[in-house]
Amino acid sequence: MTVCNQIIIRFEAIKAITQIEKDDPTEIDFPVILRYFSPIPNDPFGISLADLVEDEQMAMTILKNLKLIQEKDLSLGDTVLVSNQVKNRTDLLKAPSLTRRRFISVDSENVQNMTATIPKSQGSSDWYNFEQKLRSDTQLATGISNVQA
Amino acid sequence: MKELQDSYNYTELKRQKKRDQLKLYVNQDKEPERISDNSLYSSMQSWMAATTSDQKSVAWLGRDWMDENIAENLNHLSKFDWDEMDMPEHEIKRRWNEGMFGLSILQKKGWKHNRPVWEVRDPLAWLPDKKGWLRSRNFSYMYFDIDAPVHSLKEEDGYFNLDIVEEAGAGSTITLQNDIAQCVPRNIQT
Repeated sequence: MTVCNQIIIRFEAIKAITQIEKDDPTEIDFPVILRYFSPIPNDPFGISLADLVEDEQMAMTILKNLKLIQEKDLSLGDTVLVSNQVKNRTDLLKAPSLTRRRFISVDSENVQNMTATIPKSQGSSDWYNFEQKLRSDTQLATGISNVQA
Repeated sequence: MKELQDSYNYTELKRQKKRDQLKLYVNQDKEPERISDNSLYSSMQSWMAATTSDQKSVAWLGRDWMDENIAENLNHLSKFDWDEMDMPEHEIKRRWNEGMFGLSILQKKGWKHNRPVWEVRDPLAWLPDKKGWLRSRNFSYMYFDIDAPVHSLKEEDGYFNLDIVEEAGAGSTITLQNDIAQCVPRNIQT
């Protein structure tokens, strides 16, 4: 053992046990057991389970969050004021949240005719199929069939 | 030392990659309007459960019917030794390292109370011979970066030069960076 790779503070010779080791000390093993998930040459760690799942997990996270944003937008933030009677312009910059709508103060009793729906695409309807494809890719890569959704 | 520098250069990029992957294993630092996927956690749990239940073991069998008692005693003794060495706990930690980092390292540190003492080493603190592979006997050398308080190093345990240890200053940053990588996704202080 050393401190800062410079000062030796402890060492211990590994004793030869078998006759082969006694005859040839280079045959003495380190008292260390290495176990690889999937070893490959010239790679100190080989392939890990995390390597196999990483891509799909990141893609699924993006997909889920895009779907969440889309649903949130459809539910809460789909209208815009077309009136020039907005009292406080900074209200327009407020983002809708998951739990509440965006309220904007106006100088009028009747706000019905001041709002319009923003035309937008409904998005891809096969996102669920794509998510299932990512899950099956994960299962194929790892050989684990019961990855929970 | 050249050995250490070679080993550091050989492993550092992979080590940084593995540290980054720790964030994918249940990032507990949640954001209110963002959801995360836990495929890695699910895969790891399934894999650990499967490999634990399918764990290889050695069983003694008698050659003749009169040997059965001896074989049975040896099986009990083996189970007792396995438990005495704290191997069930080590196995959980070892398997987790194997799935998460691709490699697990078990080191026999010595003997205590007539039983071998094993320790699971952090693969991210491993500095191996770049020419070695697969089995420990194929490595000319291997080092482990460990963090130990000075007061735990005692002369009766074989340590020396302790009077100049404190003057040596800050050591390697490998262990510190590993600690930070482990703590950040769990939202705890290092």
